[in-house]
Amino acid sequence: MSKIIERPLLFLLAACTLFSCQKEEQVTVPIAPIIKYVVMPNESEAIPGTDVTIAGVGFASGDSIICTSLEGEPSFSPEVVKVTDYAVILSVPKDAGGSYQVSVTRANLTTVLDGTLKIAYVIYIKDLKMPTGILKPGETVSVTGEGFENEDLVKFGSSSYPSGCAFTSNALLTDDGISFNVPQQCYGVNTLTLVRGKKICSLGELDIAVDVGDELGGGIVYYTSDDGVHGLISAMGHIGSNTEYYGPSIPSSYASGTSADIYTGKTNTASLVSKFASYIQDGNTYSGTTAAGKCDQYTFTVDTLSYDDWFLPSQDELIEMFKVKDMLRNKGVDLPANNYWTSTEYDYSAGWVWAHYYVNFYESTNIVSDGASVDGWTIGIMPIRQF
Amino acid sequence: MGDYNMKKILLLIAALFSVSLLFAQSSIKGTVTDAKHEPLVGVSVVIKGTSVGTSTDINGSYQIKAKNGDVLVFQFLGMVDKEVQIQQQGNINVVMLENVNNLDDVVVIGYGEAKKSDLTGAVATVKPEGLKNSKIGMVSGALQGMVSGVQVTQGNMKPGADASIVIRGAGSINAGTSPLYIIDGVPGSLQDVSQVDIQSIEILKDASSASIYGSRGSNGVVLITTKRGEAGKNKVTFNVQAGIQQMMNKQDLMNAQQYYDLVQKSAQDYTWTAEELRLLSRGESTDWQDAVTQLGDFQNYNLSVSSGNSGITNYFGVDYYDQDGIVKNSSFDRITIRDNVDSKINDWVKTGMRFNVVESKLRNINEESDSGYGTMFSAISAQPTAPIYDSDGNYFDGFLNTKANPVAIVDLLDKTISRTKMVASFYFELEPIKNLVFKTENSGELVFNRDNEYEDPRMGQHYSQDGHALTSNDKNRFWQSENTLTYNLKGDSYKLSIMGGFSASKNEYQSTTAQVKGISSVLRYNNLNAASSFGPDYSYASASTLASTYLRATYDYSDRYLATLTFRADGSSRFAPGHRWGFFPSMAFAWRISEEDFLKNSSWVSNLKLRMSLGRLGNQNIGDYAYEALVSEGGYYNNYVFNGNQATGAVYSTISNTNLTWEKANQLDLGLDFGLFKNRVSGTIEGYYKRTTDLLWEVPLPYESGYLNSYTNIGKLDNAGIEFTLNTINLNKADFQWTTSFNFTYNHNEIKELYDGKQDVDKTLFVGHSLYEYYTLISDGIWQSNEASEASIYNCQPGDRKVVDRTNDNVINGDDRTFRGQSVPTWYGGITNAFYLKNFDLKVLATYAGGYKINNSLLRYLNSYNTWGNMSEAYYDNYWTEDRPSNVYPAPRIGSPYSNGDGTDANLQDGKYLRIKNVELGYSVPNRLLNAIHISGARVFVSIQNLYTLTAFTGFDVESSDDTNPYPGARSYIGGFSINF
Repeated sequence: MSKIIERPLLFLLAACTLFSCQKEEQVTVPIAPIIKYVVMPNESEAIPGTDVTIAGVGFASGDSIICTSLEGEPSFSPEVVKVTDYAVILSVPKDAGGSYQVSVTRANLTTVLDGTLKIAYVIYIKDLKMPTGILKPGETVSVTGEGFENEDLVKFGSSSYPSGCAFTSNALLTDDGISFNVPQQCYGVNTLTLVRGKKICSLGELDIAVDVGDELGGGIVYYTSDDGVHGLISAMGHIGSNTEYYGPSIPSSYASGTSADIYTGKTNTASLVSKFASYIQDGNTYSGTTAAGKCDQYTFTVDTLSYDDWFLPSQDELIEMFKVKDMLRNKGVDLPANNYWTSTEYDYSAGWVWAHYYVNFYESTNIVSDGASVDGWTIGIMPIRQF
Repeated sequence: MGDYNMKKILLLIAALFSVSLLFAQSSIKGTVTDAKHEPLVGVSVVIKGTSVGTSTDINGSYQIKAKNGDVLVFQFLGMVDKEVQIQQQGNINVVMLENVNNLDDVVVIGYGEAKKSDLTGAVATVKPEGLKNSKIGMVSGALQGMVSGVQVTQGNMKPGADASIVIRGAGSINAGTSPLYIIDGVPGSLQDVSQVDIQSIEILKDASSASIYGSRGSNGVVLITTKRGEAGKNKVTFNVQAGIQQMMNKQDLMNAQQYYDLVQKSAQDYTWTAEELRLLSRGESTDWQDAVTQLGDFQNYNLSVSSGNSGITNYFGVDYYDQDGIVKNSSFDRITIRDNVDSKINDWVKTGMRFNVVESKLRNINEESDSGYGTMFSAISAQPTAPIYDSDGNYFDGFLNTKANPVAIVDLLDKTISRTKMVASFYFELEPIKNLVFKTENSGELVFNRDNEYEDPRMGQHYSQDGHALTSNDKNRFWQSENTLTYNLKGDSYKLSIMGGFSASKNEYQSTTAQVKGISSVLRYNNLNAASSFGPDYSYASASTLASTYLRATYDYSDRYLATLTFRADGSSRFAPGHRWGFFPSMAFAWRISEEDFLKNSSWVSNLKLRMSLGRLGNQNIGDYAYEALVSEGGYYNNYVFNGNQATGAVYSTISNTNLTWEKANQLDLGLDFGLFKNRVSGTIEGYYKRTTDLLWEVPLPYESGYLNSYTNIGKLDNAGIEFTLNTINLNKADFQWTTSFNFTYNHNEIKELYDGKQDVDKTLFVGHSLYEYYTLISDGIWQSNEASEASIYNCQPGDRKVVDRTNDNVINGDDRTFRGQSVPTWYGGITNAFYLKNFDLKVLATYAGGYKINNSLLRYLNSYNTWGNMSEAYYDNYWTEDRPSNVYPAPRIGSPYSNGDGTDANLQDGKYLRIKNVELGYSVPNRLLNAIHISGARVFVSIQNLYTLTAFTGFDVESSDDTNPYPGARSYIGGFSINF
């Protein structure tokens, strides 16, 4: 304005000529939002009741978002928590779950985003608190938190259980959460999951202790540690005949470097099987199966549950079995007096893995264990499991 | 009924009265003025064929008894005779036109003056009226289209920009082509002169007229003479003019939606930013050209006071010029104060002084350095999908090719060049013996420049993250003493004049530059020591001296045969001892054929003069100390480690050439001046031939020498041309006049010799061709779908640019290049038409040039797929596809060979143009209205500059020197008034 006062002549002239100086008015016609580089979150990061981030460029504040279920669930329009240059953050309602198509509306124009937003079918429990300590099968567990409902189930799962196997317990609502009993079949370290229809919620881990002599897991518990949370289970009987070779004598380049310690039989067996497979793959032949291989292939079914994670015990693991052989026999385990192969290799410094340790089950109390020629001796094979 | 009778009576009286007028003598009266409507005193008014006459009084008024049918003849020295037949007027006001070919006019020549009739050389004069065609800009631009042989290019429309002037073709490759400017006897620049202060400009074009300036004259000489007070004519003039400027030729670029569409269709891996995608969905587009430009405006106020008596005269002028440019925040303002005093002490002693102070300030011109990052190029290439500001209100900073935000540049760049110049001179002129005049004129000049720059970190990529400030000071000190002795001898049939002189001058220059990084936007360049990092800093000093003697003899035999001999010897410190003196002789002859008996009484030939001149001029613009071996000391390349410590090293950086000498220009000039029909038609036809030898050249040296190159005098360059000037008075009625001035120049520039017998240097300069020749591949449209197999020979696909394989070897390489025209006009000129109707005047100036091509380097970005920024709308609408073949716009295929036309002639456009430079309508307020308020003259005008340009060139401005990052040209709408007291 001051310029107008300062230069009256100039602006008088300008007024005369402005007809030719008018800038063209820009006509703006909005188009549907363009959102590029969209990356939907992993299902594990898309939890109902939490803020969920959809990465993408082009979101704007004021955008309205609609999530339309592809699985018949109700659609919802989440609150937009934040918009950045590289993402939009949505507040996903607690009852959402499953796959959704996401559309963005701006100025009454809508764009459907590439990809599918998969929201986990989870139950949202606030202030969840699991009990600490070790429990026994049959004992009652109390879990506190908000969000539990009647008819929720608690599923006990463990890596020691056969695949697909889980034990369930009905939960009872309490004032501050739920209570339920530990199923009798459970043992070891269990992962507890709350189940409500399609939705789940991970409650955490629970340690369940058992005793030596307990009959479970496809056999008899014959050794425990960690107050009964971990241990070894013997099969209900030896496999094969009483006179089995271990296998062929193989060059020490195929040695597995096995150990004699407790809880090493499983890895010993896996290594022995793998090394022997390499030996065969390199053009060597052997018509039979090694003792480790036989244990690895062994399957035992009880009450429709198939246990297939057996292995050949290490020297110390078999010695522990030797110590409780009478108890096992009393529980019906077929464990005749014999020598038994272990998964612990004998000294192979001469260039050949020619012997494995064995344990003498002829003895009553003396522990006799030494090397036995793998292709010279014919003795017994006793598989075990561990939890 | 009564009314009817009354009408009849009145009709009868009127009829009787008019019949009596047919036969009776009546008193005719009126005023006689010049074209500026200033009264002419002493005009002879005679009835044709009689001795009855009178003359005009001090107000230009006359009164004479004459009868209808008589013809009044008006005659006045310096004006074209005018005849007016008396019809029925009782009052005849007459406007007389200046005789542009007035042979009695005094013309300023180097170290003296001469009557126009006595000139032997090619001297062109531009009067102040001609300069008024240019309202905005510097005086240099005002010379455009005025004079033949003078090529004026307004290469840059930025505020405060000088136009470039080349006289009779470029005569040098490395020593500059700019003429020597002499303002009231002192070398200077046209930027420092207020247009209103100028009395006349003389341009010395040929060797004879310019050789009096010897070693500085080879590019021609422009003499500017400022106004002096006139005895007995006290006059105050006040001029005001102001106007607005509108950008011309805004480039038609793609909008955001088109740009997005094209990028999506191309294979470019473009990373869109959230801000761009939001802008797109809003349906908006950023017009960066609009964002950085504005309506420019300017204002110019000028007050001059001329006063004096027979003893002392004084001229005082003050001028204020203020221009806000088309590009936002760029501006130039200047105040000029001038005072010229002349006094006559007694009959044989005169003295006087000239004093001139100029202060100017140039702000925020970001055009010349680093053109790829300059304001306009940034605006043109910035993607239209980018917003000016991001959603947080900060300048958006996500431009391709690390360019800065164009709006941030114009908002934040702070770059001011302040200039203060003071020039003063005094003279004594003694005539101790009649006709022997001694004159000593001594002058001094001080120029101070200060350059302050601050680059704000918010300008974004390409600029320092923490702020960069620079301040630079320089000072130039110049003094000169010119001393001449002139003797005039006049006989019955001859005139002889001999002038000899001595001059000495010295120029000293010094500069310092300091710069820092990590400085706040509050402190900027005002407190550099608050910065976090310093340097690099520079200082520099140099000096040169010039001592000269000169001699000029003119001889005139019976006003018919004229001869001029000129000689100058210059000694310059720029050359090695023993090679410092150069000698520049010239001679000129003229024959005034119209003074011969057989033409003297011709009714149609008023003037005919044949001129011939021959001479040598020099060019000493080789820089100071060029002949010497220079030593560089310190720095990364020269320092070394001695005993584990860094020691300062010194090394010869240039090799000495003590034989280095002037560039020499030998020039021949033939001219014919003519005036026909009492000078109603007048003009000049002139031809010239100029050969420049000993061209200054950096010749490569063998690497064994330890130097890359050395300055050497070598090679030859020719300029030859024809100039034609025609001034006509087309109509000369009592109250309507129409005049035309036309000029045309053709110049042929050709390199005759390079060094070592070479026929070319780096395939850019060629013997037998212009200095400005294009040597490129030939672009022959686009490969079409039915040419796929042929295209594949050259690794091309349909849609790629087709380049002519001139050698037919199935490979496109440097051997396929050829000559494709030159980059400077071969012909140019101007035409001015002036119309005077009663108190109105209309002037139309058009300039033109042709015979050249312009490399429109913007097209390399706009007319092919450009991964670094925006493209033209024409490209979007027409790029090649199978369904929509084009023979101009390649397909948007990344990696397509020669796609942008580089190395080919694809972007060369015909530079031919005709531009209506000025249309001006003026109205002079009649004196009878002004006399009552003590105003002796007043004129108002409106003017449109650059109204229309007819050209095939599509860039911002056909005259622009930088086509990548130009300062846009402008159309200006101007109004103003002038008042005399």
